[in-house]
Amino acid sequence: MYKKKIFIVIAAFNEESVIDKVINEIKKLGYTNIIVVDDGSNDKTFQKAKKTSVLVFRHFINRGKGAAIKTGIKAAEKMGADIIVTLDADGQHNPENLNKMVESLFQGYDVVLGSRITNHQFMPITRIIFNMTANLIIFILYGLWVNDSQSGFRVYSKKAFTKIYTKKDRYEYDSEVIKEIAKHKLSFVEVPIDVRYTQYSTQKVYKQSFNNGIRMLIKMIAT
Amino acid sequence: MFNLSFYQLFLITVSIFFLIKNMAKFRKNLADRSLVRFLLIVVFWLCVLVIISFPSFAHLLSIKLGMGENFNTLIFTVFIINFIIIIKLLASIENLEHDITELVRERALSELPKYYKNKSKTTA
Repeated sequence: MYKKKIFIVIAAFNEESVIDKVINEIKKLGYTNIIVVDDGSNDKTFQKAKKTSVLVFRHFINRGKGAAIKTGIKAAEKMGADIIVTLDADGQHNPENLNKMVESLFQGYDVVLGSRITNHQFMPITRIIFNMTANLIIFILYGLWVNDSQSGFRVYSKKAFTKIYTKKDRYEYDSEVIKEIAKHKLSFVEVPIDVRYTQYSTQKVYKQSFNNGIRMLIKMIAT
Repeated sequence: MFNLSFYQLFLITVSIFFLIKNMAKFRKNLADRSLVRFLLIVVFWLCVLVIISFPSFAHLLSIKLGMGENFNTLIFTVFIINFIIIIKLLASIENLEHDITELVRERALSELPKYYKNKSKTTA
């Protein structure tokens, strides 16, 4: 019954090889309200997602992960969502963790953050270092310690997604959400999640590389 | 009359070159070029010309502006002004990026009302 008002938002960019698999995995768990936002892909991501009979919206030019998630959240909000879940389109996040994440929200939290850190044995070392650096910077800037500030697997209550207002369009979005959590004093909990690091997902050069990390840091401090 | 070093001659040549180039571009694309931008470029290269040709002028300017004999203070002040301009430009770019995203989002979500109707039909 409660699965009716839960919307899953997936931001996708050039994920034609995995997007249908990710969507079908979520559907098998009984979640039917799935929104995919194609962020200006130049492959067949949009067409492949459409074939799975879920809601698909398309940015006609690439605006970034944060922008795509926000588009999906706006759509979910207009469709009457009570709970919104965001997760990555590259198959990194295991949808089997969905039930656990949603149930944690029902314990009275506003936001549930999926944490890869407690299960980081397969995480590339560069990613671990990047995450820890980001966590430290976020703590210095916003006064909130989070074990995995860069995880895109999150669950938001209605209170949270209506209060959180983000302006960042790209990978700084994940950090900006932490800032909003601190600003609005939203209650949150971190839940360990499984991570599936495949050759495919680790080869994504436009994800959190060192250069992107520097750009992200400058944007967080300067704007 | 002018006792100019090779370095000064080189910079004077470069300044005159860019002045002529910009004037020609402005004349050619009169409708597309911003007058303010053109004037700023001309003023900049004229200042470079004057300061390179008459180095004592910069020293005099520094004294007139109350920085005394310290020409470095004038250069430092110019750096700070440039830094402020860059920060303001970055803020403008950020705002423009935000506006572009809003437009892209609006277009993406223009399909949404169609899903509303389908949903209200199924839940009715």
